Amino acid sequence: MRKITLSKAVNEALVEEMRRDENVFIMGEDVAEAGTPFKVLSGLVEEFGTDRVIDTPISEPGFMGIGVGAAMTGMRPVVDLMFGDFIFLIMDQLCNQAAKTHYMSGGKLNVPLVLRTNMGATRRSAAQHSQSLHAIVAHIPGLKIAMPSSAYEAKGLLKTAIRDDNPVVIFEDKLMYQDSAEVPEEEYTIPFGEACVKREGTDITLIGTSSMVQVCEKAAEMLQAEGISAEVIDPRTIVPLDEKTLVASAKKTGRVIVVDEGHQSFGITSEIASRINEKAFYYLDAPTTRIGAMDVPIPFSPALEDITVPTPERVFEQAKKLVSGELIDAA
Amino acid sequence: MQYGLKRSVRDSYVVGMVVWSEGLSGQPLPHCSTIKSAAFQPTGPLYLPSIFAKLSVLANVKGLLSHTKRFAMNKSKTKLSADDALRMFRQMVRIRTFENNANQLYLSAKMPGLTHMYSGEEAVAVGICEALLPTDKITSTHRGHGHCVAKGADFKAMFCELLGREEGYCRGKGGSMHIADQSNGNLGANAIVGGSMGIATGAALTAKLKKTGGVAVCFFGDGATAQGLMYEVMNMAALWKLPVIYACENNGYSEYTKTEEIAAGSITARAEAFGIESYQVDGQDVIAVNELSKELVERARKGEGPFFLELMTYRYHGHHVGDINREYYRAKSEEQDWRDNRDPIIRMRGWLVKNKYATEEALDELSKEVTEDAESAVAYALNAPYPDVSEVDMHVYTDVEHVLA
Amino acid sequence: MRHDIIMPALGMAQDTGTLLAWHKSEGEAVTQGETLFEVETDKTTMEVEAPASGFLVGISASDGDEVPVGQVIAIISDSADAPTPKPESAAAPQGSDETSGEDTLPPGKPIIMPVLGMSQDTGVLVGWSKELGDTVHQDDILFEVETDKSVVEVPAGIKGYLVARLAAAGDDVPTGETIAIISDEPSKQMVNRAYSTSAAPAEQSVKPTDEEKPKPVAEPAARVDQPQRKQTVTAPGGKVLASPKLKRMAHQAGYDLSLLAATDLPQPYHARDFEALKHASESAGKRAVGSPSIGAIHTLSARLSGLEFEAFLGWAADHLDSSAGDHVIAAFAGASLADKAVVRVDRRGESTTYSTQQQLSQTVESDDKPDLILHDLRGTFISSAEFPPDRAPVIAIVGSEGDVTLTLTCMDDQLTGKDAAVLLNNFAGRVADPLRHIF
Repeated sequence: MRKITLSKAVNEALVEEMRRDENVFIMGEDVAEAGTPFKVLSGLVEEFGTDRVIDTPISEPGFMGIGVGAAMTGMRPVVDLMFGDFIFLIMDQLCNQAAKTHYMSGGKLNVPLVLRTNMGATRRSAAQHSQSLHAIVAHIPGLKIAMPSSAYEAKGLLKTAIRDDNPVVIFEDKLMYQDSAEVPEEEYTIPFGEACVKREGTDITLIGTSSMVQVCEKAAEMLQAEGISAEVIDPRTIVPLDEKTLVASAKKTGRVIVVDEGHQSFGITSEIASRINEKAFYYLDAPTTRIGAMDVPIPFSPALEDITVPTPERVFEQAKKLVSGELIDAA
Repeated sequence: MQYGLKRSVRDSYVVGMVVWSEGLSGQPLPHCSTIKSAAFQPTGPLYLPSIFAKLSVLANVKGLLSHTKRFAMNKSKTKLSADDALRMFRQMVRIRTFENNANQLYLSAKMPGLTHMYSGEEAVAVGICEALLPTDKITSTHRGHGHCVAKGADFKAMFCELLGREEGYCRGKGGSMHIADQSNGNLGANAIVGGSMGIATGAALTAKLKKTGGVAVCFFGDGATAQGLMYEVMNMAALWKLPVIYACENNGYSEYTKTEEIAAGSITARAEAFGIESYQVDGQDVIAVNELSKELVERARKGEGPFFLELMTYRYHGHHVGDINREYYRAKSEEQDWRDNRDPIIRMRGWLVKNKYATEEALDELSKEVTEDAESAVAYALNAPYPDVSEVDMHVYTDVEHVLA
Repeated sequence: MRHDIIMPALGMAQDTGTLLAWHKSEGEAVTQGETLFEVETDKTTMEVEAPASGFLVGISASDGDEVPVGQVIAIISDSADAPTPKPESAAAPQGSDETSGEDTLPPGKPIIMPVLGMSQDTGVLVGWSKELGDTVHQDDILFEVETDKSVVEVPAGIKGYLVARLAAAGDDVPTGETIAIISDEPSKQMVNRAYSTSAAPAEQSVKPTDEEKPKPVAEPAARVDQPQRKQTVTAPGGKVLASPKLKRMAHQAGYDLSLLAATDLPQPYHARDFEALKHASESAGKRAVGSPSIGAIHTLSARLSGLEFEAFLGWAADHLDSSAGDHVIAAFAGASLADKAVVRVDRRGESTTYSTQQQLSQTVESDDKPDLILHDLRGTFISSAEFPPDRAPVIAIVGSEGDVTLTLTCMDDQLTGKDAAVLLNNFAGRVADPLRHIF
């Protein structure tokens, strides 16, 4: 099968959906001729024109709000938020308006909007351009949250997001834009709420999101060399969450580590771990543990930044501890 | 009158931009003449520095303020049909009646939560919405019952919503602050001050992209002009020539604070800075509001938008129904003055009778009908069922019936 | 003056750039500002200009090559025929790699302190098995390391000549650090020294190959507290620490987890300890049948003739000592329970405890806790008795010569119903036919 970059996969998804549905349009900062700083959208304005690939001023709340209004009145905007960190600027429009409109209207108004943004540290971009803030929006009912782990997922999930009648936030890892993966030529979508078992195993379950899927896969390989069989699962969307698959795997292996690039406290890792605890408790042979980003703002210096994010080595060490039956924190 | 002075400052230099229908009462209104006389002797704390005033005059003479169109309506240009005039009167009466009943429901502890009364501002919602088609969009505010009625909503479903009943427009999930008849183009009342400005602008973007010829009106108060979102979306609306009308209902108070204490400079100048045509209009004169709205809506449909209106109006009640003791920010005499001398319904009534559109008796009969209609709707709503508790996790997502199932 | 031409970082998400075409060729004169080459990155093409005038030499990347950002791909030199120093290789650490350490290390392949334990940051070098200059083969033991309380012999892994030993016996060396160099050829400048952290430059000069990537700036594992070695943990109050899974498995099988606490297995227990639990439960003979409810009480009775027993006691009184009655009955009961048992006999307000064995003569008085309690009420007016279970199963004995009734009561966790039946039947059999015990 052909291999394309995640960036190209996103571009393809947008092209296909914009050809399919004339109501789909893109709006954001430097999305047209510039094609975004990551060059993900290059070529779109040439095909679809400036009416469907709309450059906005640097007014995140403004264009997010306009996107919500357009979505409520028949369009399917794909709003481009240049950095995930800017999500704090648009919180009212995203969380008070887009997320609640369907509910507040008793089901009469819809907001079929996609917010495309990114996440991920280790680009040496410091604290305001490196955050992974998906947990913050996942906390708000009414939003769906997709987290592609490769070019394949990026394309399939984005196409599904655009066709969804609800507001969807899709977080792409900005470090993965140039990563290639096998992506079929033919059309496909990936349903929301269906986790993907990336690797089967029997001794421990490693649940990872976005780029942490790769981290888990690397850790699984290291574990295999030690004779430990690790199962790796990518939830693909955290809202809705495929609890069934995660819990089933937890019951099977009896040990779980949840890995996510958001800050560890009050984050995705905590949520998933606690659901496993609630639903698979009597099958657990070890405490379900979390590995998230350190609870510090992302530092600039490579020497500091690299240790804030989960690594295969840390997952590997933690997995060995759990499998060895060591008492985790006897205090 | 706290902003009378403010307006007088404007009047003295850009006289024509104040939309004033002196024809409504047949003679210059007392407040009108007060304002005008004040205009030539500007005094008081809000008097602009003379240097600025001179610059404004200069600019105006040279046509640099071309976006601040003169719109004097000393006499109604187009003859209003009796049907249209009476419908506007009826709609204003309906809003006032709805609010009186809502207030009673609140005071008698039959209504959960709280609510913000629109009484006194009826001419704004009715004058604008009567210029719109049902397919045109509006966004409303926490003080939104008036917009909802004016855009064609039904009393029964509105009272049901107010009381949290299943048959409410939002199935009891929105309540007073989110009430909207979505089928008539109302995109919702918004409890975040200034929160709907993006939505209205987005609706206008849809109209432009899909070439529907539709127009969107964004209702908001003077308090919302302090929100940054307004400036972001006005900028884009002006850049992209969107068919949106920003309707600032300036009732003189930003919650419990005088507008002059929260808004520096001129409100219309905010929009003018983006090159948006802006008007200040007497929000108590439904004909003036309607005539201007009709003109601007038609122009917006042709792609000449966006536009900005500052509608000078007044709310009779406090910020919300529980805001009873409010003399610390507003004198009772001021409220009484507006009720007695500037009430939009009384003025319209006088105009209708004077122009022989209706007799006093016919108008009394109309009011009585509306009152009965409201009372029966209240009675109906009070007995209407609450939504089943199973609805609590419905309508979170379009494609999941019960999200917690 | 020499100017390095590097692959520039142009895009936002760019690690490499594709060299599209050189506009100048090797040795050609270039003027500052002239286009040197074109590079493609993030779908855009850029022309890169000459930063200085001179001669383009030492071109190390050709058209179509994908080159890591920051890599030197050519040099602008003062003369066309200037010696072209080989540009650094891709993996050479950026920055001042030319600063040499206090001693120059011979070239060769580095040998590192290996990670051998489960959670090991350092290893203690026990000793070298090869001398400096020795020829080593892949399988030759090169050194010994102590780690996690075991000593491991480490083979060389590669063949060649041991030209540097960078740690001495007893040194505690972080894993991954270079401790020796093996070269293809013997070297004259061999190094032999103790490990020191200031030997850092060595790492740069001895790591010319790109398979030895520099370690991450800081190893997260090194920051996390050292995981504790598995040790025996006990919770206060005698609570048994076990995983939810093992608890569920034990519950479903009817096993008592506290039996594991009596073994020398370390806590907390996990599913893998289930087999040991099963074994402990079965060997204790206390495996419940099915899933009995906790606290179940078994009560069984047996009726028999006491004539033979009285006759036997009469015989015994003549041949054995005076306390023969209690002594014999304890022996019979104890032998019915197990090969060895401790039996207490309560009779007319007096308690005597015996340690019993199969042979009557080996039954002696004891101070141990009883496994079985007998209430001997023969010769009283009591015609029927049933005692509540005690710390051990209880058997009440009532009646007279012709008609004796034995009533056993016990908790299920003392004896299962089946085992209780076996006990009582054996005991009754012995009382009814004492010779059966003897023979």
